Amino acid sequence: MSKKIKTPRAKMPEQDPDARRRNFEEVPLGLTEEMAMIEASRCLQCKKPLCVDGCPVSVKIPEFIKLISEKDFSGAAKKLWETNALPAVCGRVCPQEDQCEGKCIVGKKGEPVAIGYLEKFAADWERENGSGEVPKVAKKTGKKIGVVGSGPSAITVAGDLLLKGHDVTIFEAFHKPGGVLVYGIPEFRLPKAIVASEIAGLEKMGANIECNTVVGASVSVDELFEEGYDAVYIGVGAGLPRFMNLEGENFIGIYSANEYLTRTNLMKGYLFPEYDTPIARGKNVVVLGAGNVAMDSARTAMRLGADSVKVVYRRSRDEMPARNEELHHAEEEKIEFVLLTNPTKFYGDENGRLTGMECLKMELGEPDDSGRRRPVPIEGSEFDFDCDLVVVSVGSNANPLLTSSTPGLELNRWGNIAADPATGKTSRKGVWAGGDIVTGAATVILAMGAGRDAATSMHDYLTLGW
Amino acid sequence: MEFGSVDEIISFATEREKEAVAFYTDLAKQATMASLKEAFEKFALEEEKHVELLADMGSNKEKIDSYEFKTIPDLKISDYMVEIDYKEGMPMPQILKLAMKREERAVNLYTIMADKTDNADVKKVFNILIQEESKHKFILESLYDDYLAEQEG
Ligand SMILES: Cc1cc2nc3c(=O)[nH]c(=O)nc-3n(C[C@H](O)[C@H](O)[C@H](O)COP(=O)(O)OP(=O)(O)OC[C@H]3O[C@@H](n4cnc5c(N)ncnc54)[C@H](O)[C@@H]3O)c2cc1C
Ligand code: SF4
Repeated sequence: MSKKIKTPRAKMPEQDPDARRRNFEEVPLGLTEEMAMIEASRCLQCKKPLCVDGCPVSVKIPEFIKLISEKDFSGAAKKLWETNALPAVCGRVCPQEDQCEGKCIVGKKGEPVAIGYLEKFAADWERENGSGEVPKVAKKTGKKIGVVGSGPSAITVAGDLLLKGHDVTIFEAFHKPGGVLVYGIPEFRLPKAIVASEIAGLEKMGANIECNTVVGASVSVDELFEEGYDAVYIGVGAGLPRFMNLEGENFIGIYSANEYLTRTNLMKGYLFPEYDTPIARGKNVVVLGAGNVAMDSARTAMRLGADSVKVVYRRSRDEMPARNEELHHAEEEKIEFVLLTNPTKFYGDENGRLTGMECLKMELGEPDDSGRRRPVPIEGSEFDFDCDLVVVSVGSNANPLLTSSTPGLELNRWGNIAADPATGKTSRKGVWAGGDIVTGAATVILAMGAGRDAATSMHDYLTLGW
Repeated sequence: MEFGSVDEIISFATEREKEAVAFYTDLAKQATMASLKEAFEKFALEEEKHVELLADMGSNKEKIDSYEFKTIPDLKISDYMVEIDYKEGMPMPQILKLAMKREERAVNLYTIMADKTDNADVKKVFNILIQEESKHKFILESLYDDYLAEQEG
């Protein structure tokens, strides 16, 4: 046992930071088979595996790791699929340090088993070497389901309902399916080919995907029912950019992270002029916010050729919400963190172009009743930065387009759909919802978990009633 | 704005606070979403408390003397925001910004009024109102701060 603990955690081979900060290729290169098997041997195969409790969808972690240690990589991938429809995605983007790895017993005295790396390894192995077969779908039920959106929650619902024999049509507003996995998270973190292969799997299972269809504008939820759909799932995410309402926020050169990343990812702006989506290439870039979206924006700006990229955040390092790995990668790529600092206004020239910004230093105040220490401005600490591109990444809101055009759909105070947390049922009969449109901006795995719960509830409805 | 007596100030401030009650009550009536309605009603109730505080003071000046001053933290979130107009169907975070800005204006107004007067009693009433509106601003800004912290991902 003690010998196992001594084996050091696998180090993920990565592209060199100096090279990768100027290209869009994936940063981690993946574990070799041998490395994966050694890493898998570090798992203690706990009787009561805490890692599983830490996983929002209870992936059978010790079981899949054991299969890797036995060199049954295909079996490991299949074990993952039992509970997780997108392991290749989750292995790359889940905040493992707060979930499974944060609970791993090995981590109590040393470094936890690299569950995320192993998940990525098994799923990638199967994609590259497996038969490419899709699971067999059950006998057709004749029930028609409309799934609105094509992000991780929608993909999960669609996959589960197809398996049960229902007909599924996915309606996606953009010209490509995949949701944030395609237009938000950049190529260097999540290669688009992976998402494309998952979508291709859904199509092989019989999913009908209609892109360029905005439900709420081109067709309403009510019209879907009129057209004969038996149930509808709403998984439209929370993609409405939020701004800070600061003076000068309309200057040319200030983008929402949403627009900035969509232009680079979905429309391949980084391949301009090969692709005709122009994208602003700032020299001195400032990103406001410190979540995954902010890190993705900062690292994208660096790859588009910026001389300097600063992440400005009003709290301290401990509160930065991005995954540890992203923060670490960003620092390696020479992204500067300017912490406990809040922007107060933007400066522009006579043509309305951004030239700089003013910031204020903050300190953490006394803990309030909730124990939270809030950033409070330090009087007279204003200072200026020069910058020619600002990416505002302070979160996003639910887009009211679909919700406001669907009568009887109850929303919560933030404009998100009110849905039963266990089943995803909304206030409208026959309508389910899940993912970011219900929770507000959250994570891929939570969106998928919601999708799975909803699919179970929808299947019950279609076979047993509301 | 010149005020001769404490009563005049109290009646001015009462009018302002009643207007705030009406503002939030009106928003609550317009709100189509149950959750938003509830939030506006809460804001209206808070402003109503100010009206009551002022009414108590009018009838009993001792209240003014016994009022306890505390330092209310100022997150200054709204101070740097530009004004926005209310629009039907506005998302809640925008509404919070609107309400924060309103409270900020109230603090500023009472601060200017307190500076303008030499009458110690009058000054004190203004300072009470400043503290009360600052508390509101702090509550609203904290709500917004929590929201940002949750949604920054
Ligand atoms: C840049 C970025 C980085 C992130 N990084 C991470 C990370 O590292 N780890 C992590 O766990 N999470 C991360 N997240 C969060 C995660 O991606 C989301 O929580 C998740 O994608 C939500 O899934 P969803 O299915 O609810 O919706 P989404 O993925 O948002 O998909 C919704 C889809 O619905 C479509 N749509 C919207 N309205 C309509 C309509 N009216 N009609 C038809 N289609 C519509 C949209 O075009 C979109 O394709 C990140 C998010 C972003 C933006
Ligand atoms: S907690 Fe860690 S050691 Fe235990 S089963 Fe899970 S991964 Fe293996």
